[in-house]
Amino acid sequence: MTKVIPIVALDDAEEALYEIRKKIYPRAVSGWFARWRWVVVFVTQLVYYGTPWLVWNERQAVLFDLTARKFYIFGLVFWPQDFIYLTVLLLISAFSLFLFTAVAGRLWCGYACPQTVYTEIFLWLERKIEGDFIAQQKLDKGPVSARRLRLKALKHAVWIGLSLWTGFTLVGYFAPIRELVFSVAHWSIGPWETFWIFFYGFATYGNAGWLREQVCKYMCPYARFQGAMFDCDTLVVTYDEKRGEARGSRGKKTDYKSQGLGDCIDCHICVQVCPTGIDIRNGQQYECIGCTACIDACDQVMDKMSYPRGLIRYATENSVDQQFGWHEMLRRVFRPRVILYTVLLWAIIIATGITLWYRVPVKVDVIRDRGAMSREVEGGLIENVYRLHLLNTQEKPQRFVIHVSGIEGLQIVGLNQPQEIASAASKTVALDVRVDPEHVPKGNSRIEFQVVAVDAEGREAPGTFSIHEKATFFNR
Amino acid sequence: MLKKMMWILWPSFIAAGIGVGIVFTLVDPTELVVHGDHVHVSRTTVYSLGFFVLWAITSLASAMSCFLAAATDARKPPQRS
Repeated sequence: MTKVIPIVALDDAEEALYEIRKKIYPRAVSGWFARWRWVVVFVTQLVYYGTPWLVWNERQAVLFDLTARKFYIFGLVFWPQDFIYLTVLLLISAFSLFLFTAVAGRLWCGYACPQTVYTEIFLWLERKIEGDFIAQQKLDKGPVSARRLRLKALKHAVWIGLSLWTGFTLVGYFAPIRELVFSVAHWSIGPWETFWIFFYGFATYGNAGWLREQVCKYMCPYARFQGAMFDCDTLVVTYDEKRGEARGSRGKKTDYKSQGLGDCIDCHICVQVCPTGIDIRNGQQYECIGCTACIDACDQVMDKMSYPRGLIRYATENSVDQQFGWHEMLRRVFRPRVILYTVLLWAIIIATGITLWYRVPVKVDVIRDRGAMSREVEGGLIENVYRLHLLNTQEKPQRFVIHVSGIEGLQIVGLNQPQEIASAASKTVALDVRVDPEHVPKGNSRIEFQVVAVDAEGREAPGTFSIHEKATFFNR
Repeated sequence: MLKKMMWILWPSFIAAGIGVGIVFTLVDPTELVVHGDHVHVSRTTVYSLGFFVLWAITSLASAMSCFLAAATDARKPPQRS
């Protein structure tokens, strides 16, 4: 028996791998949501471009000084030892994202994601230079002309200018921005600073100018897993199919209901405004970034037709299916997963706030001298050598007195007391600890260093603090 | 092709960013010893180079995943529409 294996051409698969992207020319949109998006764009960009210029304690208020390994955030100075706060920050961001997504879908994508924000700004510039979406299409399809070249050159020059400023601002978070301006002006900017300005500038230009919605469709992991945070009570941009269908064009005065038509006049404006080029009427799709451009656009059409607004609106799947209103939707916001996310989020924020508030502004590490474990010195005493790494996280100098306890008769030798550490600096002090061998057994014994903050006169003033750090004393 | 480049470069970029953050929080570049000798370049250089080395390695991992996934898909019978 012969078995025939059918041969199937793989053309389709090939095409899918090399899908050619059709450039999307989104139509400009105005309305309630568009206005809010612009508000968010302004606020986020004001914060982004403005923050590095703020001054605090006569230094840059927010500076992630990688060369000095210190992060300044207003009144706080973070050291590599404070790594835990970075983890906490990530946790807070993650839980906020989970919470917002569970309540109202892709709020982050639609309003605050840098990809959305910069694409919005770049689209605005493009419209200012090349005209609206129809003019842009005409320009691209038309013959190569002096006007076309001029407009394109101008557009890219403006885009590149903005991108470089964005890159410069980013580097300004890591290297003092005022000095950076000075070195740019004098062509004395360091190679890595230059590199990163161009790198981030290029990324901005490429992502917001060229890739645009492809970043959301192909690159963004959040777009893929956000579905896991959705449920039937999540607010998403929804086309009310029951109300809209059957779609079709009609005259304004027509009694369309008698003709069996729904409220959708099939004008395609919701498709034209969509930055990812989808048709929201096909239902919830992963490409939808929740930018609400179609809501604004459709509401305007509904107004023109004198139909009620909200054919496309923020709604939950349940509310559309079971036809309930805002009141019930809001009531359903308080469901277990939302409450759980909220409780976790606040627990982390409050715990972080408390630890930051009570943060002891000094850190101590005890390092045993690796060379000599213990030795006998004059008078028959046993000596161990330690190095104490002291770190002052405050922005003022601090004096310390170091004590040691744990074994009777322990004494510190070879250390000037008190020790002073400059503002936001660290210092390693070497010290010898001696004890009479009568009081200390063979082998390891626990001892404890106590670092006490003192005032200028060397007294333990009220409001000062002390830290205890355990160590081992060795006697052979 | 562009799509594949995005799939490879972008996740590895994020992974390298996280990796470089963790590594250099724990390790001070000035204390690095390479072939028995301390490195004599600025911290910025070590951070930047470290990032690119990590990015290259994570890209390699992404590219391999991409290659293996594509090789598996090709064996599936083409779907009839």
